[in-house]
Amino acid sequence: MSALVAGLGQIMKGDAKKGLKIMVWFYLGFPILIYGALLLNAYVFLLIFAAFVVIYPVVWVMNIIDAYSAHMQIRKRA
Amino acid sequence: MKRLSTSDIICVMAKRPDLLRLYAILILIMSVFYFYLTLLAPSRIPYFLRFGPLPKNMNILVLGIDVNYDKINHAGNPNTGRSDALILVNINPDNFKVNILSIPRDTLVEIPGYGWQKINSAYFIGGPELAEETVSKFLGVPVNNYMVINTRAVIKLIDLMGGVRIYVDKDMYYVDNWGGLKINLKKGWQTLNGQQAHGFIRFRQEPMGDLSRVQRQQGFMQTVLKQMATPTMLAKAPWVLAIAAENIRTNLSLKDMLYTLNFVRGMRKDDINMSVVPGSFAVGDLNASIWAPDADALHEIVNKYFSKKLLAKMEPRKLPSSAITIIDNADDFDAIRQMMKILYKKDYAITSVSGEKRPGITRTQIIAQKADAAGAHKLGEILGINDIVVSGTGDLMSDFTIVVCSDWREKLEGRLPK
Repeated sequence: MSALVAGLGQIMKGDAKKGLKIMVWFYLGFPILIYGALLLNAYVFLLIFAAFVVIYPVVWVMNIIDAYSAHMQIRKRA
Repeated sequence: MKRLSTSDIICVMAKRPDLLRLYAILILIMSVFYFYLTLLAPSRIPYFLRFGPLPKNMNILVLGIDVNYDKINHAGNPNTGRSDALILVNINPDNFKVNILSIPRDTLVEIPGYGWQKINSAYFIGGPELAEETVSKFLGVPVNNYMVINTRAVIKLIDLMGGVRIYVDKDMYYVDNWGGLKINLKKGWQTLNGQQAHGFIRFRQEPMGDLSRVQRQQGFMQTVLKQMATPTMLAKAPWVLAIAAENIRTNLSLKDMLYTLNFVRGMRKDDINMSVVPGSFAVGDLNASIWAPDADALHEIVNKYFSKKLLAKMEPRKLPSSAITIIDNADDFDAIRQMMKILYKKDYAITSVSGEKRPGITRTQIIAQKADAAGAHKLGEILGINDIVVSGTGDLMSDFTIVVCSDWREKLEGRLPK
């Protein structure tokens, strides 16, 4: 689920606070930052955009790993 | 009216955070949808809700330059190469359409200050600014910006895209060692790499010459634009901009360029209208490689797609009676420009300027290609050139070929008022 919607896996595993935090940053915070940069200055936008081309996949992969490890822990406990 | 008790107010206040939470969740869900739509299918978002909408209507002149900068360097002329492809792109955010008009490079137009010539000479003579002015005058619409794209940009962009899947309509084979171009393509569906795609859009060894190429270029553009809209290309945007910065000359601001790219990304196939300047190959005294525009049909296209207000009908274009090719043997572009001005004042048409040298010729010479000795002498009198040759060694497509050598500069200085 985290692969489809970042943070959703964490919410489903019971860590709603963390899941929501990821969702808010991923779908609201970062895009607002990028759009704000575009309104501010094209060069700043390019820098930020280039940075996020790297940041987004990293955050996405980390969120999947985090949800998966939470899932494994729950299974172990069970 | 019932008065609210303290307990009622506490009850409402207690419930309010739940409502806020609900709003927050709704906003978050909408953000998730918006994020994925922007990434995967921006054309499905209503235009006014799209990320970074284009603020104004724009007419951009795109000039494709046929030059290999590694091999060619004409001294004195920064606008090396000729505009092999001229495309006027109208981006209209009011109706979310992109209108594209291809102008065949052999189209006969009046270049401001230089007379009747093929439109591709405008860039060679006066750079993108003159090309912009010429197209604006020719079509009667304001051209706000230009974009000069060299062949290397096309090659690099297609390689960055991982190739372009396109139907090659015929076997294509052509080798131009001077221009560093080798085309060898087989008919059928193929994924072309940058070099092959460059050959595909440049090939014109066919009966309709440049016109078939223009049609091929339009099909190619459609395919590339479609491929540009994929999310993979969004991730590659910084590299696209790096290629653009290195190989594209433009007077568009970076912000406008970003907005334009974003607009193009959100287009559907039916949002693009493509047309070619209507006309016919010129017949008569003038060589057959000239495209004479059909003023009425062109007027209709321009009014329909490029102008908000109805334009007055264009004047029918008068064809000049003889074609002149100038060969720059002296690497003195300014002197050639002066010659063009003199000829323009006398109503001559320069149909071509070539940088291909004639090594054996050291004095400025007029070659009467079609054996019109009287015409050549008249031209010689105007320019003060005595060396006149009646032979078929000039440019095949011209009536008169003028080979300009370094002595022309001296003659020119003698002509100037002291």
